[in-house]
Amino acid sequence: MDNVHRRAQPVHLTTPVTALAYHDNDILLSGQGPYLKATLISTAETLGCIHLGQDWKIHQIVMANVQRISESIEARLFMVYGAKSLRVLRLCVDRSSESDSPSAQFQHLWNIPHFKDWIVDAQWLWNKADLPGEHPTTRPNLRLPVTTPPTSIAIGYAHNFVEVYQLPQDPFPIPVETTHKLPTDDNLSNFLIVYSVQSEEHCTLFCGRFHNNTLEDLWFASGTVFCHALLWKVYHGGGVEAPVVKSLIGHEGILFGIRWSDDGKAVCTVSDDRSIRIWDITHPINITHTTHFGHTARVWDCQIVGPYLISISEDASCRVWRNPLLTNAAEADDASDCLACWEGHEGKSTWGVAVSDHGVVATGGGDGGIHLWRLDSIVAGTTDAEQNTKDIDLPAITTYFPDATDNDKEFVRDFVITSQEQSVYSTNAGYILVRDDEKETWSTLFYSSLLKNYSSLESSICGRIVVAGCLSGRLVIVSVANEFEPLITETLGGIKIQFVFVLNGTDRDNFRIVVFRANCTVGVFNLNTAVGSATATCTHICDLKLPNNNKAIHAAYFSPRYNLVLLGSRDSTVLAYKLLRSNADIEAITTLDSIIELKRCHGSETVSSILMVTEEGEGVGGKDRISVYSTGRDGSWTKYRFLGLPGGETIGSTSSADDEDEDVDMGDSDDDGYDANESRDKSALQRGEESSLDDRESGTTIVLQKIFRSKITRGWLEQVFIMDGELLLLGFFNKKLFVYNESKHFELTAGSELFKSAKLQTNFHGREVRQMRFLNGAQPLIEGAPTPIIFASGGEDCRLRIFQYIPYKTKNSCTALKSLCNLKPSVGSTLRCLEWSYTSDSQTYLLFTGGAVESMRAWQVGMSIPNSYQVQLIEDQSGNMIPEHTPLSLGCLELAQCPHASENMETRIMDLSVFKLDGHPRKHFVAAVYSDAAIRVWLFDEAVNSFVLAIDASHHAKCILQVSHLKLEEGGVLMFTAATDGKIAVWDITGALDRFLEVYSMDAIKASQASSSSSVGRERKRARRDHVQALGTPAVEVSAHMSGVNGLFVQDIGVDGIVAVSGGDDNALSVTRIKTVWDAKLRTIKVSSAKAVYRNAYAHGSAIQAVIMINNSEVVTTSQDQTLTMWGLNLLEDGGADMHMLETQFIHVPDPSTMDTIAIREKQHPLVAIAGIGAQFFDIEPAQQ
Amino acid sequence: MGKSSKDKRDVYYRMAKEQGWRARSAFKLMQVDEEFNLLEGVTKAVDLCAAPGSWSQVLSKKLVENQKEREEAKIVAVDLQAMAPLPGVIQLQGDITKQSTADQIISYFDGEMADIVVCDGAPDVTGLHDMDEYIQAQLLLAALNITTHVLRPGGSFVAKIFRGKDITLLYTQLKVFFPKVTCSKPRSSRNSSIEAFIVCQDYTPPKDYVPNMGNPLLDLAPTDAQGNSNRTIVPFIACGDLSGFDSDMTYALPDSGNNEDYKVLDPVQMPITAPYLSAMEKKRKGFFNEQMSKK
Repeated sequence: MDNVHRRAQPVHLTTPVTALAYHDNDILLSGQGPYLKATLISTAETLGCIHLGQDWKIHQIVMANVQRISESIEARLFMVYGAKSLRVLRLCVDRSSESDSPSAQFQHLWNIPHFKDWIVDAQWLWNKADLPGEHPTTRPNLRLPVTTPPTSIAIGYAHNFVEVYQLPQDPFPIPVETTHKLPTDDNLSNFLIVYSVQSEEHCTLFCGRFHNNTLEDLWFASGTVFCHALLWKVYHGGGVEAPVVKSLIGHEGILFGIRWSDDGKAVCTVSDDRSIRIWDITHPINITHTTHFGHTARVWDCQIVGPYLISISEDASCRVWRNPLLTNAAEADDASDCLACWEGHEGKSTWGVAVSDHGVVATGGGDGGIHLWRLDSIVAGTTDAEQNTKDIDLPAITTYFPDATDNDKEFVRDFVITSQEQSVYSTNAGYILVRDDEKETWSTLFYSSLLKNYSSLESSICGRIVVAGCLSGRLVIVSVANEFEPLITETLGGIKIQFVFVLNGTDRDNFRIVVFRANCTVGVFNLNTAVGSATATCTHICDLKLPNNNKAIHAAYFSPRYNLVLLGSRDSTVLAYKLLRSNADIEAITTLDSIIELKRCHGSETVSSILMVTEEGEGVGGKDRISVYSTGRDGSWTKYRFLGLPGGETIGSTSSADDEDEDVDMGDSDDDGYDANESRDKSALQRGEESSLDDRESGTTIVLQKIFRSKITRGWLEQVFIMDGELLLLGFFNKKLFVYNESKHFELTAGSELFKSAKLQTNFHGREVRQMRFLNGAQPLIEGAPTPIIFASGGEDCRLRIFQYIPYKTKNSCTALKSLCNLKPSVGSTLRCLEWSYTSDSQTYLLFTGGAVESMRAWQVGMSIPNSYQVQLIEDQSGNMIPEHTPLSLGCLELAQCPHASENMETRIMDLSVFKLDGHPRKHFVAAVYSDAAIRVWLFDEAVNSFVLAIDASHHAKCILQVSHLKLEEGGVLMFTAATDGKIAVWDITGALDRFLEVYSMDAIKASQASSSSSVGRERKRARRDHVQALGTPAVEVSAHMSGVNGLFVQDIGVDGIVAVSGGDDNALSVTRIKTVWDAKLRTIKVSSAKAVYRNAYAHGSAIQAVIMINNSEVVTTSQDQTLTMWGLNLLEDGGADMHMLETQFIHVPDPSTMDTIAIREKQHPLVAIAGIGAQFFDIEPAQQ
Repeated sequence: MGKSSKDKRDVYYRMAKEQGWRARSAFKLMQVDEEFNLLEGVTKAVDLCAAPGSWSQVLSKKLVENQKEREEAKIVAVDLQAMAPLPGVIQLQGDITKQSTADQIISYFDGEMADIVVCDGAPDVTGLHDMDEYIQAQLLLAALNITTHVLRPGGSFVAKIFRGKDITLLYTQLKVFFPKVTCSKPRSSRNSSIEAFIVCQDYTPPKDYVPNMGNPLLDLAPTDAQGNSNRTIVPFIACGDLSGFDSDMTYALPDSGNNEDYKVLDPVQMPITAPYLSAMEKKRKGFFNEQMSKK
């Protein structure tokens, strides 16, 4: 066997960001596993990235002072440490190019591995004579006003002792070189220990922190597991052990973080007890402290930055607090201490935080993302609403109402703000007054007795027109600038008008007025204010029929292009109406039915605003993309897609595409368990299918499809608008008004832009990934483009995400993951497994997901790129021109939810395997195994978009962990299941599938009817069992492991039969060989032999989590011991097998749970990915000869 | 999600409540004991990191059975947290990494030695895996250190371990003191859990070894990048009856189909203290609702 030895070359890693430090206000250093990266925050550009070595994990970055090399070049000495290793590096920044971004290079100076204990802090030390005066250096990003180099490094260890190492030489004269070569490990003995001391308290620390930068003045603060913080002087008078000078006692849990204030007069501690405490240590005996609660989980770190405290926590937020040292101590413990809570990271924990002098806070998440926030947004956000409130009193009534006396009761009935300088008021007496807000002068616009005692006022968006709704059902329409004579419409039944909406019409002088009357009816008017003419006309076009029980309309939008009116109601429904074209000839007012009724768009809260946007030619197949946005009083905004409108995307084309790389949530609300997502989408389809007259004429179906809902505030969202192409949201929280920029994820404040994107680095899953699967066999979307590398992943964060892997190509580009889709199908349901399937359309795929509470869903995934896109050629490392990977747009739409079949709702779906049978192109068979020992095969039929139970069996009497299938070349389908008892069962499901297809085809129509009625409503249906086939017992069962089978890979190797390679919780790797005989007449598979032929009980140091075969002779395994191992597999002629280890390496993904591989067409070698907490990618390359 | 959902998801959780154990982990020690017969004839035991006390409960039950006429059973249970009292168990609140705690344990044995030392302790897991593994290793080494003070030669040591990346280094160190080291996974421990139990038998300290709490014992060597070529191999044994309950399996409740009638038992012993109690108290008073700032 020609077995080329290959090796796994790590090519990409996403894992928690644990360290952040600013070099200056624009360059941010970040540490992620062994990778150190420099990023320009103004442009989000990566300036440089180096790998520190395989067993490195960066915990902290500690900056030293700047060394100026020339006018435009500066160097910065810094060190990074992690676990027991420390490295000294230099960052060289060249700003000589005026047009280009600065260049940044890393230079390794010394690599010091293997210190005797875990490092909790490290500090640069200078000669005391070189440091003029006081130097605050507690925050590493501050630029020290020192020109001389540091001489030594102080290291604080987890066993509460400190060592001071002298640098072997002055670092400044070392020539600035930019070599990417890793230095060999420096011998620890090159670094002289000049001082060493143990604290008198022998204990283990989670955290510690130095203060001051000379050995003489050096202090250490120890955070202990017994809730005390200990302050001690490193360089003390004598004796072997240093005495504790101050004990800070008060916390009720382990200390996780400790920091000094810059002046050393205060210490900040954070703890397991969820509190932050600030200790005033100026008084020698009487130490006082303030306590700050607010984080909802453990707090990891907190620093004192001027007037603020900035803390990060396990609750994934970063909070900003008022610095209690600057306020009256008596006010402390006050809830108003917390000024902001920034929640942008997904899942668990924010790990790193750094603050620039410009007040840009960078946070690094457990999700591998880096977020930027602005401290100045707090200043604006905390401005007290009352301070900005102006009381406006009406002028004396006699000044505008000649007949009035001072005794007449007069007050404002309603008002609108028409421009920045002007507002309009309707009064109880029936006046409409205009106020010039600059000059504070009043003028009368109109008077009518119709407006007496009641009016509901609204203005057009342009502010030129004000419409008042009357008690009598009439509308009073006035021009603020007197462009036309005031107009009063007919009475129309005399019903009080409660709300008026003045919507833009076809042009500047055309408007649609929508009124909501007290009897819950809605009227639509067409208002024309032709230029120059002194009269305006207003025609009642039609009435709109609301669904029964509708309470009130709170939002309206008119689309002149499609002649549609959209309404949003108080009971969370969005309605669409198609207006009739010509209305002049129609005598009687018609009442139109809605063509769309989409319920529960904002939980059960009011829809507060609605907006429609058409992007021409941006949709699938060059059609227009029509999006709808709504805001709600549930604090979220929802995005929808309109399908089937003239010129727009249709239902047949790729259904939904969403190219935004943003947090999107589906039903991520406070709703109870089974959010009606699915029924919401379905009801849209439903309504669409029975849509109105003119649709039937044009033969198209109009659908409003909810794409996602994203909750951004605990208060209300009131308005959505688009300004300069960016989506802005206006809302209220805590009696304060805010405007939120959705695309940048922060509140709008005055001031220049300091950074382009609030997301400096895209995030991955915030919690453990349980399964990831590459989309094998994807097609390039346009000719000449490389095959896109797409994978789907899901896990403990209950999210379904789809990413595109964009490989490293040139010297200056970085391998990247682009997030294409981020959905939360339901709250509290872990996604355990997912599998792709294929449709006849090369740009549309199906994805099946399974997980907790027995949930299984089918998704349609469609891909597109902008129609204007042309393939770009770029130069690769070796100078060849190659086509660039283009980020795709991708839409993911839920097609169906599988009915449940277990007695127990807590049952988890543990694994899936999906296949299609020849001759049934639209039928997808999904084999699923359950935690209650059930084994089921479901049919997902594309024709009716629903699941039908095909085979139901139970075996193992244990939680089943793995399922796999094999379609044999000669015929028949084998299924493999494996459980926590270590056994692998082999099933012949050919006959059961045949029998099912016989009964199913006869009943397909009935099934489709049943499914369509089943998909509406909040209750998940129980599975129908009309077609279900029993399975009996497995053909054979093999005992391969002592306990759970976590990885199973089955391959048909032709004449050599079938090979099943499995990895277990028992650390063992096992090979089972199976021989089968196909009986074409009976259509059965007979298993002639099945035997576990090889077992390596010590394959890994811990449980094997996943096994894949990258070809017939090479196997890759990964384990809880955080290694990836490649094995050679030899199938022996006597029916046995042998495996030998080819290579093993450490991986940077803790808790690895899943592994997959994809063959990349453009390359000769496969790509392997392992995911757990984060993900790491490997190119399997031929080894260097 | 109903109140009984955890009962449905976890059969051992339900059984622990039914049988009066303070935690489901009681089954883990019993299953390890079934496999290794560790508690046979044992009368003196130390339970390190004992709270909430389920292992002490198991020890107490077994050791009272073993009690001979002149030799009374003695169990010393130590934990950082306070623990509700258990009859016949001497309780000690302290940090096992500190010398004073070791001295106190030793003092209870009046110069005698323990037959077995067990440790079901796990540190506060932060989520930073290498940090967590380091701290867990420190805890295990502290437990081992105390063990070298109090265990009689030939005695055994059982401790919870996380089977993470540095596990083989821990094996190496345990092998210095125990010729027989086995990694064991009881069936009551979930397949999905990284935990396992290290069973160390026949305590044989190296010649001239003097127990000393002063310096941290046997610190870990760094991870060998090339990994597994000459790592210490420790056999793995899955213990507990294969036909018994599976901790990963979802079982129907006893009177399934009629879930409304199912009576959910309260835990046998609620934790009596936790670091987050003050925070919880504030939460109950509505502090967090008012205080959560924007978004």
